Amino acid sequence: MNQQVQIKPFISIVIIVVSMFFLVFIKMEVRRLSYSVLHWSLKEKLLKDKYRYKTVELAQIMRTERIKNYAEVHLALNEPQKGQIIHFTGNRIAIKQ
Amino acid sequence: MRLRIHLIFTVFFLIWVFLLVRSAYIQLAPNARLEKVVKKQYLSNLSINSRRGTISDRNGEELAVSTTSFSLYADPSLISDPYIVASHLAPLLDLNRISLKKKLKSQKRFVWVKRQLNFSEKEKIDSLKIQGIGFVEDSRRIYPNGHLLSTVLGLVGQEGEGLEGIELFYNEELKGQPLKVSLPKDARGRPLTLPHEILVTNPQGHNIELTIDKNLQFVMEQELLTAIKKLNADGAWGVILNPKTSEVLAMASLPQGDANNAVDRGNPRKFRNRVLTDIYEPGSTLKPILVAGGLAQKVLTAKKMYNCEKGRFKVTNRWIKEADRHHVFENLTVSDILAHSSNIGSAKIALEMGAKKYLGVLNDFGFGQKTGIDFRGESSGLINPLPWVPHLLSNMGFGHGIAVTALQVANAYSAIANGGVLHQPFIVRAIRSADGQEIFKSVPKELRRVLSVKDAQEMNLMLTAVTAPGKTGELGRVMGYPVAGKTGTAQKVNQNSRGYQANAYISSFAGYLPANDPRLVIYVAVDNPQKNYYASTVAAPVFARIAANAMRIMNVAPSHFNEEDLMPQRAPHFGTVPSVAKKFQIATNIEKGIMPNLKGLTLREVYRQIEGIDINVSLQGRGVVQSTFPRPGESIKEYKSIHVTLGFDEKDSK
Repeated sequence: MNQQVQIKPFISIVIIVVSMFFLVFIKMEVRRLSYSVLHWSLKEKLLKDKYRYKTVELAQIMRTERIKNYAEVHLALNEPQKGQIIHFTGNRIAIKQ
Repeated sequence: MRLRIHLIFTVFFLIWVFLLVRSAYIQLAPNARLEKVVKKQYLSNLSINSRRGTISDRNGEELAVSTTSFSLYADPSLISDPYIVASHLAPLLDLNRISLKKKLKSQKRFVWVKRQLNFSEKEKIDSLKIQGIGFVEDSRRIYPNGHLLSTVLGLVGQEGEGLEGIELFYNEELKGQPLKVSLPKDARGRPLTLPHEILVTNPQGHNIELTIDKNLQFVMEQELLTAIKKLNADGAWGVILNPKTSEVLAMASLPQGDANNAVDRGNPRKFRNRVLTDIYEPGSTLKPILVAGGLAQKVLTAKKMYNCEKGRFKVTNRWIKEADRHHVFENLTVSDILAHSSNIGSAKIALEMGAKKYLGVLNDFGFGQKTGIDFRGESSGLINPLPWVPHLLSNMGFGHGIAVTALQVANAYSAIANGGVLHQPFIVRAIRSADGQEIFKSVPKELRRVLSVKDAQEMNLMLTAVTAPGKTGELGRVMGYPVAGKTGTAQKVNQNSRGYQANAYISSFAGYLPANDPRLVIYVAVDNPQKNYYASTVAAPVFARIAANAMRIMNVAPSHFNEEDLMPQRAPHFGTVPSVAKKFQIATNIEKGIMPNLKGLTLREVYRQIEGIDINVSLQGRGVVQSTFPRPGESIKEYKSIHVTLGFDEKDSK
């Protein structure tokens, strides 16, 4: 009984100290995670921006003027002349343009 | 002694009490100054630049976008060997090595090396791991379509502010506001407890949706470019309007610059939108406005006759002649005056109408005043104040002695096309916030009725007659669609002195189609064509090509055609289209591994025939197949590729 009385303050102090250490640990962990979030957020932003840039690059490559030029120079295609364009009317009649 | 001890104790006790009270006051009582000092110590101000909004066409195709870019800076004091650094950086950045070395040897602590680098350039520089250089994140404006619509879109400066065109007019809407947040920072200045969304999404300006149709714009620019090359002209411009609303579907002014290109950006002339800014004498394209005014004022009817004086008419002491000396007309109806574009007939109508009434007509149709389009730099045109001498009045009847913009003419024709109502042209369809919320939506604005429906219908018939066979606008016809329009040839006014420039003309054509249910108003003008200057042979064919393509793009079914139009026609430049039997023979031969006879086929047909066969094709020339290797009938099994020589048949190229 006497021994139990003697150990109680010690346990209380240990609990207080451990709780404080735990609180500090939690705080540090939150901080560490926030740095990690910051790091990966920046990475995400970079990737998003890169994706956006690639989309614009694709749009530049696919621009009508470039495709037309490619068709004429590399595929030896020509502008459609009068008579080569066929227009379908609502009555499914094809007329040349 | 005891008293002394008590006294000292009391004094020290009081001091401690004072210090405690004071510290409690500082800690607990609100104090704005101290709060500011504390916040400054641990708060970091983060400013995230706003990204400029996107400009897109009516179908959502992006025309101007902003992406992240990186500006490279250097701290010369940290660079140990400027020569080596310059040698490494100069080829990557396309800079002069010597001038870069000079920059890196400067005494300053901060110098820009190059601004607005893209991702791949940054990665290349990063891989060099050079000490003393760094990047600042920036925004870069990109125009994915290059030259397309550049005189309308305009451009932005290096700091991201609009300098020309839509970029300038809607700068406030596009640029947005930078996001400023205060966040606690750590000892190294890194933000703590950062909301994740702030970092990954840039604040953005509003997005603008134009009324422009990218496909129509492309067709118009290509045709104008072809006209400039073919006619050796100084420039060309044009505009396409929706006659029912006056919304701008295409607007081009060539030659034009590419806002992505630094050299072009330095030349403001390449971004001048001549459709709105340039004024010039419209010539005969103004005659329909005179006639429409005459109908509205009950001065004339379509069948009223005027004596055209066999090509020479004296007004006070000056002679008025027809544009072409072969045009010797006597009595012409008003409809014929338009169809033959008689200057004398128009002069007589103007004289009969009188200056005051004609000025009223011109003002009604929007001449001499800005159209009110949402674009900076619009010109209002030029009309002399009253009184007009008879000679000026007669000249104004056929479009001289008055200066207009292309947009004014197109808008006036829109009023005729839609049954007599003049609208305010507009180029922005909607403004949306970055999250898609609609902030502004354009509504067609009716300005006034300038013609009765009956008079507009009568004008429609008269203008359709202009494109009839043998009339001045014949080459402006588009197969399958009735076209109403008018040619205009005007001598260029001398900018530096009185009178006109010798042999310098602006040829134009204004018209709309289908005349029975107008969908488009198209105006084109060719500046100073060298090979020919009559609008009937210069501008009318350009109009026709644009109009034909536009009808196809807009899926407008042809409304009138004859039996001949339905007959299959031989392509003008190509050889005979092979028959079904020949195609069958080719397919059979290829399956057997024998080189078929491809002579006379187009490239497209060649590819169609060899589709699915594991063989490469090398090409030479343009046109239709002239010869092949291996030759027809030879085995193709031992060859990995076939060589096809293309060319034009002599008889076809004539």
